[in-house]
Order: sequence, then C-alpha cells, then structure tokens
Amino acid sequence: MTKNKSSKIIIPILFIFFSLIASSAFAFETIIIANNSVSLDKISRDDIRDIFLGKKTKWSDGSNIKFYLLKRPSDQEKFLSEYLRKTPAEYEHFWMQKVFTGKGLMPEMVEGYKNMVDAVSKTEGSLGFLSDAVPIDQVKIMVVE
Amino acid sequence: MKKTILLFISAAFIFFTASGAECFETDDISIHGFLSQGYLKTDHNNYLADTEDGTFQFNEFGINFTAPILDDFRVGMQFFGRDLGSEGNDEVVVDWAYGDYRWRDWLGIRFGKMKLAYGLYNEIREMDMLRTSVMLPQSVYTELWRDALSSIKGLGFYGNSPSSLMGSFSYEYQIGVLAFKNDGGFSKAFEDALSYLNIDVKDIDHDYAYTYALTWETPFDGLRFRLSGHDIYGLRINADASGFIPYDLNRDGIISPGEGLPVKSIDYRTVKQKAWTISAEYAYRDLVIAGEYLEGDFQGRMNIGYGFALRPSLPVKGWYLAISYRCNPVLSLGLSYSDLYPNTNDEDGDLQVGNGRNDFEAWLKTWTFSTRFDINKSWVVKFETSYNDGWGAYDSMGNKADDLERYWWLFAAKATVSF
Repeated sequence: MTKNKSSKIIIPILFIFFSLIASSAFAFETIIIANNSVSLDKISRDDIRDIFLGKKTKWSDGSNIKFYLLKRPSDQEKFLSEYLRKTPAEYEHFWMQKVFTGKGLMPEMVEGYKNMVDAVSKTEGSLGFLSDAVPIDQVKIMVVE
Repeated sequence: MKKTILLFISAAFIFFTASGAECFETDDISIHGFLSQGYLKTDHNNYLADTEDGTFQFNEFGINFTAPILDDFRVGMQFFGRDLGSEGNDEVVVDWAYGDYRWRDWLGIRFGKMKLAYGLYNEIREMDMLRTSVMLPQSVYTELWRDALSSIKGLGFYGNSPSSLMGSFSYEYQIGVLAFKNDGGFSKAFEDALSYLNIDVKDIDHDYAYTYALTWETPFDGLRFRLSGHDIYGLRINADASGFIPYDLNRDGIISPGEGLPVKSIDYRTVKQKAWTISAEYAYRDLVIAGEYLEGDFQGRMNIGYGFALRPSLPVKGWYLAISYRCNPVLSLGLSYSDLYPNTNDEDGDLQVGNGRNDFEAWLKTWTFSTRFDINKSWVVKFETSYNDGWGAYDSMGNKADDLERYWWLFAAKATVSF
C-alpha cells in the first residue's frame, strides 16, 4: 500500500474515531434529581428554568426549593444550554447582578456526582442534575415534561 | 470611621483577589466586593471632572455581606464609595442594607435601603464589571440624578408569575425616601442653573418617592421589555444667594446697571417631578442588544423673597440603542448611540442663546465604542471612546459658555477587580 493510499484510509478513520470521542461527552443525558420529600414526580422545563433562575422558590405545597449545580464545566454547560438556554458566562452574570444588589446569593455548586447525590438526598425540597450514566437510589429522578 | 472602613475594604480586596477567591463564605455569610479605578480625558470641555487635563478622579469600590436567616428570609448590606470629579470623594456610604422576605413567588417584601428599580441598569450602575461599557448612556442614566436615584429607603414589594406560553411577568414597587445631598448632583445642577444669583444650597429634602417596574420576559428566548418610573413628592430646596434680579426700581423706564431686587435666599418647591422609561433588551448567548426611552417632567415654584412664582416646566427626553458582543472569553465589544434633550421646550437651543449660553447646550448626542478585556474571572480592563455633539449634559464643573466646544471626544479607561 502506498503512502498516499494509506493516508486516505487512516485519516477518515481517525476523524471518525475522534468525532465519536467528542460526541460521547454528550452521549449521556442530563437527568433531573430531587429529594425524596418532593411530592411531584414530573417537572416542566419552564419550572426547571424558573427554579435555577431564582424565580420559582417554592413547591406547590409551599415548601422551599433549594437547587444545586455541578461544578464540572462540561456538565454545567450541557445543563445550562439544554434547560436554561444560557451559557455559563451568561448564567454567572445573571447571578452576579442579584448578588451585588442584594437580591440573591450565588447558587451552590457541588463537586462531582457523588456530592450532588449527597447534597440533594440530605436537603429537603432540593433539586439537582447529573448524568444518567450514574447509578443512584437515594434520590428520585424527575420526569421532565 | 470612614478611613477604617476604607482600609478594611482595601485589605479585603488584596486578600481575596490574590488568593484567587471568587467570593468568601463562612457557614452563613457570603461576602463579595469590587474595586474600580478609571481615567477620563476629553479634548474639549471638562466633563464631570477636570477631564481636559486628564483625571484619575474616577473610581468606585464596594463590599457586601449577605446571610440567609431563614429559608425564605435574607439580610444583607453593601458599603460603597466613589469619586467622580468633585462628587463622592470616596465617602463610604451604605449602598443598600435590607431584609428580604419571599413569602410566595408572586409576593416578596423588602424593607430597608434598597437599590432603586429604574430602567434596565440603574440598580447595577455602580458595578462596572457587570457591563461592557464604562459610562452608561446619559440619555437615561444621567449623572445629575445618580446619587439621588441610587437607592430608596423604605418598603418594597416584588414578585413574578410562573413561565407560560405568554412568557412571564415580574413587578417591583418601592416607596420611601431618596438620598438627596446638599453637595450632590441635583444641588450642583440647581446652583449652576441659577449661578447668576451665586446660589449655595443649604438644604434639599422631599416628602417621599415611589418607583415601579413591570417586566415582561417574552416567550422569545432572551427578549424582555420593561416599563419603569418614579415620582418624587414635596421636593424642596433652600439656598443662600447673593445677587439681584434686574428691575426698574425707580420706575423711570430704564434698568440701570446694578439696579434691581436683591436676592438673599431662595425657597424652591417642586410642583411635579416624575419620569418613566420603556426598555427592551435582547440577550442571546454572547450578544446583547438594548434600547431605552425616557421621558420626564420637572416643574417648580420659587420664592426669592418676593413671593412664589411658577417656574417654566422642564420636560426631558432621551433614548439610546446599544449592542454588546462577547467575541471570546477575553474580549467583548460594545457600540451605542445616545440622544438627550434636557428640555424638550428648547430642542433647538433658542432659550439657551437667550440666556447667554450656546445653542448646543440644549442637546447631547453621543456615539460610544467600548472594548472590555476579561483578564481572568476577577479582573476586567476596559477602554472606551465617545464622540459627542452638544453639551446638554450635567455640568458639574461649571464650564463657562465661551469655553465650551460643540463637538468633543471623551476617552475613558477603567480597571476593575471583583470577587
């Protein structure tokens, strides 16, 4: 096999290989998890957006909502893009405005999936997100309408 | 006390930014802060400071503390200081300090000293790192009213509707008192307007003010509209004066030089002072397009020692359009055009000429190009240039009419650190 012919085979293979790796970063779905005290099993995209923007602070039974974000950039970016339609920079800017006018506190970030599950499972009324590749049983998985 | 607070704030900045902290939290208290230092230079006209020679009298700093007391009740306060020419002079003030109880999503209550809800950006105008431009458009965010409209002390109600097919609505209503200062922007403008009487404001006060803001976040992602406004009731000014009003005292049909009614004091009371703004903003990813239109009306009656007389109304009109784009994590660019008429009864400047001033003091049209560099999460550096037509601006420097130029450039640079 000549050099030219082998490169014509190898390059496409490499391209497909790296494309698969890149897309595999988003291959897992983002799932929404909640503390078992949350009575709802379903949640709308609008509600998720309102919660993470601080507009919805109470569940329908009047109990308070607490939410957590993953610190890992790839997970955060995917969640913010999919549910809030914002970039991480936009999201941070939004909350900085709240902080510097006294209208809110920066959202709480957690490091890693295990800490996310721990935080949500231990905080009544709380909501978080993580990849569906992680096995969980201490929290409930919300169905997104 | 003020110097101690300033030293503490400076030490906090050095500590937190050097350690790369994005904020500081104990178990319950969240601490954030910022510090800006700028430079202003004009080719003509001293704008807000001695800018013809270039000036570093352009800085702001602040530190805030917030703590949740209960799940739905929070308290916080922000100390703030600024210097812009002869205003501020780094005096540390309480920018905001209030309790916030969120009873329901549609009703929350705030009490204390709150940032005043007005336009899109009034509440955050002190925080340079929260926008691309250095200066906010003077057509809507005039420096004249900056210190008075910065905060309101009293009670506030706010809330929002859930998102639906119509988008969502949020409201804010505040009632209380504003912070007018004897040496503040409004007092200085009053002294400047009656400079021929050598005015020195001794007291400026009002009964109360209220503000309102209604925001519609439309179903179209990133597009929102806002209607906001304020009314100030019972605004009054007492000033010493040492001048005279030309008057034919001896009834000989001639007003001789020096002939007139002496004026030793001024008692000014507003009949009405209100303004409203309609705003639109489209923010999608790295692009922000914003436009605002303002109308206001101001009228008072004045007693210079010979009884109250109604003063001419001063209806103001202004608008701007601004675009900002974040090219990459480091660079953002901004472009805006702003148009201001401080008195729509004199858009062509004839009244200004009649008062011995220049016609171009009746308007201010400004093109501004801004660049913002995010060095890292804590540091921002900005460079901005504005081309201006007119001098319908708030003139805190008392520029003489003969010294003013109609067309002038402003260059601004600013560095901000925040955590």
